[in-house]
Amino acid sequence: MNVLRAFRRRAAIALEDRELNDNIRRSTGMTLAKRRRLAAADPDYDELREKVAAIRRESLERRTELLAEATRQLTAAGVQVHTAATAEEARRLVAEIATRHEARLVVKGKSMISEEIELTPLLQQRGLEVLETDLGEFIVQLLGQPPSHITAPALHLNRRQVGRVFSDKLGADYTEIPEELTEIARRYLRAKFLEADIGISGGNFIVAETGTLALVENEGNIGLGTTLPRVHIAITGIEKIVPRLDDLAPLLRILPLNATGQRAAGYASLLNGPAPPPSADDPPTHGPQEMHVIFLDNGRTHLARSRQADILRCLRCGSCLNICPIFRHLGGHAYGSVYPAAMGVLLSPWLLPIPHKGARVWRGAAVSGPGHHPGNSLADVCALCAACDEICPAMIPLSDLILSAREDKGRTAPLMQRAAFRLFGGFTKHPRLFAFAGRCLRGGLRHLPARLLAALSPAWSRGRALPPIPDKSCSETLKREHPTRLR
Amino acid sequence: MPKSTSAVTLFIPCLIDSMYPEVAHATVRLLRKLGIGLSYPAGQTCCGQPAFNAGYWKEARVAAEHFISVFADAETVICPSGSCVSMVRNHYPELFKDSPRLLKMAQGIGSRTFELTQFLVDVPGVEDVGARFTGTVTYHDSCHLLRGIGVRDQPRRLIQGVKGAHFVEMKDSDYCCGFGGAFSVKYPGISTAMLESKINNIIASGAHAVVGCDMGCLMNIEGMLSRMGSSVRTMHIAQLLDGSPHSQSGGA
Repeated sequence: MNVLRAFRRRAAIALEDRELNDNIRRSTGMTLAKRRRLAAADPDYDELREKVAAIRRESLERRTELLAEATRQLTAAGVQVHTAATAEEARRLVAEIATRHEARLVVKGKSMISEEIELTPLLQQRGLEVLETDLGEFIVQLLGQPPSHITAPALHLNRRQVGRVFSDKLGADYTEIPEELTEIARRYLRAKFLEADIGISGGNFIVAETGTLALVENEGNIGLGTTLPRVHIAITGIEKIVPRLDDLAPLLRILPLNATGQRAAGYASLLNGPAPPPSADDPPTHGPQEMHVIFLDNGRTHLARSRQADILRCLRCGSCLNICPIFRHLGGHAYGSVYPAAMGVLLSPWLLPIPHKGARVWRGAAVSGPGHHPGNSLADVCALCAACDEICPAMIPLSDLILSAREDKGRTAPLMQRAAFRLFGGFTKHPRLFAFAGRCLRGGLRHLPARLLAALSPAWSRGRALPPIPDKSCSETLKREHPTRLR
Repeated sequence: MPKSTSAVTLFIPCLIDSMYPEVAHATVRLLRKLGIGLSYPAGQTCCGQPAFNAGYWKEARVAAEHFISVFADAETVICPSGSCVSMVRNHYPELFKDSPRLLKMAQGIGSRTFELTQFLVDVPGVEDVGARFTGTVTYHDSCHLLRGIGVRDQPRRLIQGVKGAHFVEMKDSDYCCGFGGAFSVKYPGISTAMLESKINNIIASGAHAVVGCDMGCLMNIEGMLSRMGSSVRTMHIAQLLDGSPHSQSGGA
């Protein structure tokens, strides 16, 4: 499997797809505009961002301790806590719980981590019906596609396309009116919530001091999916634990602002364990009889010790996708990972490959952990415009991390490339050689046939003309005219 | 206009030196016109950014060390490129974080290195350089200048100070033009798509000229405008401020 080659192929297809391009740009543009208005109108926004960055830095620094504390608090509240080192382990844990409860129908809330571990195919293989209940996820599930954005799974589709999916797959009368489309999904899904044996969710944050699971959403589907079925399983990365309950206030403010340009999310659920067993004295409470939290590592501990560790501060808001000029042309599918753009380029190569996909596991663990190969990184797919640095609510220095990932990757680059840069480095400390190289470059550009130059980089030349080539560099003249006092 | 500022030391990026010498000459004429004495250390080569961005930090360190030795005694370094200044200011410290002596020198040079427009507006406080231009001008924010060293207003003020130039903002002026150095060579298709958006915004602005502070972006933008046969000119800001602009597309 060559990650880069696969990316190039998918990117070329995405670039040709005008409808896709328009859909992505319209959708990300709308979210960005809403986000910008809200952030600009909030005089405390910078302060809020600093606070959130500090919380997430603390989360990362104290991760081991916070995981232990969260486990203690959750267990005390009656939650069954599991830790999974790999995606495979996490999937097995879910499958075992499903088997124990003789479950037939599973309803899922939007959860990127369940996409990361490819949970649904395994459960389906075991004969379970697995239904996505987030509208966007529901649409892409009907199409058999992965989500193309971490917070807006179907942003690559417009309402006409959604209308066609619903009429083809659900037999609904074609409509492209958003309210009617939502109503079709709602009618289909509502019955399933009542029938479901298990509800699966991710976890936006987990509070260590209280063992509280915080879930943010806009459709009410997570509220239903975590309370109506008799079992609730939350799967979350070990990096999502925050120290204090008070930390949720800034986090729950900044997350919707950046994810969807909303002042607050439609719903925020703070779950503190399964429903207590019914007793004669207390009124009956709703909620699942059994609640599980699975903390997934899947390469994160190795990542935490690497130079890209700061990406573990990520809130999964998706703003670095929306602002990325590359993402805005391609959408998420081209990246071949459920985590695209800046956060994805940094995170994805560290996540352990899923064995059934036949991915190669690299075992030269000097700069990485098992499963991580810096050469598998798409860190080159970035123009270093740093728009993501500016928008990231957790203040992660994304472009600096991408540069460091490139350095890690450089150690695995082809020999010729390494040799060329070695030569470049050597030239830079010898001004005469450097000037000579410049002359050679100009000479080559001037004298080589234009067709040969175009053939060397066809896609560049298709859109762009070469600049006129000057006879001389400026350094000779300047040296003469401005003799330096300096060395 | 202040008559004289203490001498500055010129750093000419390798792209300008090799491919756009007229931009360096315009910079020199501009500084001279403003009474700013300048010197040009002959030993200068490249800041090392191409290697650094490609992940070759060891090689970038060689270039950076050379830069530091060439400019060690300079009081003020001026460079007509935001990208190279961002490299010196933001990334040299990272390159030398394990070598206290070089780190200190790098931080010192970083604090004394300015992009051309940043220097003119922030140090001597010049906004009207006495240049003339006839026509409508729009401005492209290059990524490293804007987000790397936070220069947004300085070039705009200088453009607005040019007599006869009518300044218009284009849509998404801070949106990457798709160049990204090696990125445009490795992923020309994506780069071209990004460039198309930029070009559409430039043309929609109605400007006769698009001005920028980095020749990397301008080479990219000019490449497509010229391929399209567009009459919109690309100009480095030094050429606009020099007041006797040489058209690049006309072969200088």
